Amino acid sequence: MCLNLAKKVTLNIGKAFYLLLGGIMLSACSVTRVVEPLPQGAQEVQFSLGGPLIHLFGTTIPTPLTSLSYNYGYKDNLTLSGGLNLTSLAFGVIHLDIGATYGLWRDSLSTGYAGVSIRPSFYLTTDVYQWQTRFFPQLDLMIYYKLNKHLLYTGLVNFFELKRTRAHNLTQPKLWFWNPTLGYQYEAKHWRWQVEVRWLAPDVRSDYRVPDYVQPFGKPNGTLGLYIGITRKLNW
Amino acid sequence: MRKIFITALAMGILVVSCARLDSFLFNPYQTDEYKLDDYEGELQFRLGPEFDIPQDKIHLFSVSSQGYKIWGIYIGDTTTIATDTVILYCHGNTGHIDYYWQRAKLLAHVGGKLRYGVLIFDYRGYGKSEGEPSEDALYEDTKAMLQWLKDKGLTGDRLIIYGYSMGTAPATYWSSHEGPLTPRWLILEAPFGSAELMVQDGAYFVIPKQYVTDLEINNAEWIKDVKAPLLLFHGTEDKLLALEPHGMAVYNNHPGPKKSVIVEGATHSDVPVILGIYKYLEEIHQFIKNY
Repeated sequence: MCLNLAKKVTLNIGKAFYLLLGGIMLSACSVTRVVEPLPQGAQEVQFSLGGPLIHLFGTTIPTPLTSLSYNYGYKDNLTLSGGLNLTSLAFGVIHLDIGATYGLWRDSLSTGYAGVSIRPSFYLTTDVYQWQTRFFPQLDLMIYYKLNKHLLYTGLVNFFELKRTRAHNLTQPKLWFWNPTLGYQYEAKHWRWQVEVRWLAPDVRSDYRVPDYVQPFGKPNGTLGLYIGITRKLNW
Repeated sequence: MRKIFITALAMGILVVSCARLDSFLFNPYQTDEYKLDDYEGELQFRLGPEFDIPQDKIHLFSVSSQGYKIWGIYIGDTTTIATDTVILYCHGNTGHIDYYWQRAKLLAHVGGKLRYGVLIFDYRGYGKSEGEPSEDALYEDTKAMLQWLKDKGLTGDRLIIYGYSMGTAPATYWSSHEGPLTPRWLILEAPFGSAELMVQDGAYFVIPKQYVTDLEINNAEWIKDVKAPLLLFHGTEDKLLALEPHGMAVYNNHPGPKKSVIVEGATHSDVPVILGIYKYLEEIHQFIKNY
């Protein structure tokens, strides 16, 4: 016999290389968000943690992306936000998230109330090495239901790539990334806790990517993202 | 509000640092002694006894590369390198020579047993080689091995460089840049397109590579300057460096002549096995003969 198949070894590219790579921009839509506009004049600071889930070293972990945001209730139905991605910062990348949550509709129900909000925003990234700057628009559309201290929401996070070509003048295969989202918020007196699950890019094959993304529902498309947010209310 | 903004900005400036993912590219194992056929670690495949290499045809040696001792093994007769044709094998990112020994032995059977000499070596930080891995070390250590071959009398017209995975970077680099020897043939298996393409493909978006890495690997550009004919092996099920975009970016940019062997069902690490080792050997032999 000329060949014995030995126990399979994966001659991996160092997978840790991709621990952050996959998430660093895929989860540019990374932070948990303001779903329901704040009261006018309200201010808060939000810390978010999470990203796409990746199989790594025999376990499953969310890409450890972190961000710090400031939210301000400009009007009762308009909240302005500015955020800084801290993980990107550790890589010498200044990654800003600027946006506004606008309440489109809100109405009382027999118990609690429901609403719809839209959040146009953009990400501005630049590195401190060569100051290469990128701009990514995003548009979130959320429907929510609030009962007492509990708020459930679902919707779409839409992320847009404006460049049509990538390295070596290859065609950028995808320009619009839509990400179904499901989240929950618990509103305490001075704090708000938030957990969000996102199916990132469900129409994009994720099994031929270097990061070993978690593929939901047994499908080779997209990846699951898990995010948590902790918000400190400052003046309300 | 102003106070908060200033605080956040100050925090941001404080934590701006220069974390890079470069070092994670390398996954070296060290060893004090190469075991070769006695290596008991995990392997993709083990060849049968008909592929054994006589002990007197296995030569362990070292060279100095920027002051570091770099180890290699030459399969063949070191006294006839001046008249032989030699395959320089640049291995992947994991393990060391023992890990790739079966592959080196396989190449020593292209066109028949020991028809071509085969040189396999460990980059800095791999196996017995001193130092720490780095991208520069890949190129410098490969250059040191090319110099060793040149010193033994080899000329470029009898040199084949074979790069696998990470090893496609030094293989393509020294096929496109002036070095001790320029190969007559270039064989790439499961190549990177470039560091930038890796970043963009992994992230889905068009982000500059320097956001996460300083790696300069750029096979898809370097290959444009390669005069040597190219043989590309790539598996259709390669989920680490996918045929599209990586393999094809390199292949399409090569000016020719060139040949691709796209192996249906093969992953990143099992092209010779899935293709069939005799077919694999024949593909290489025909490429050398006909190109």
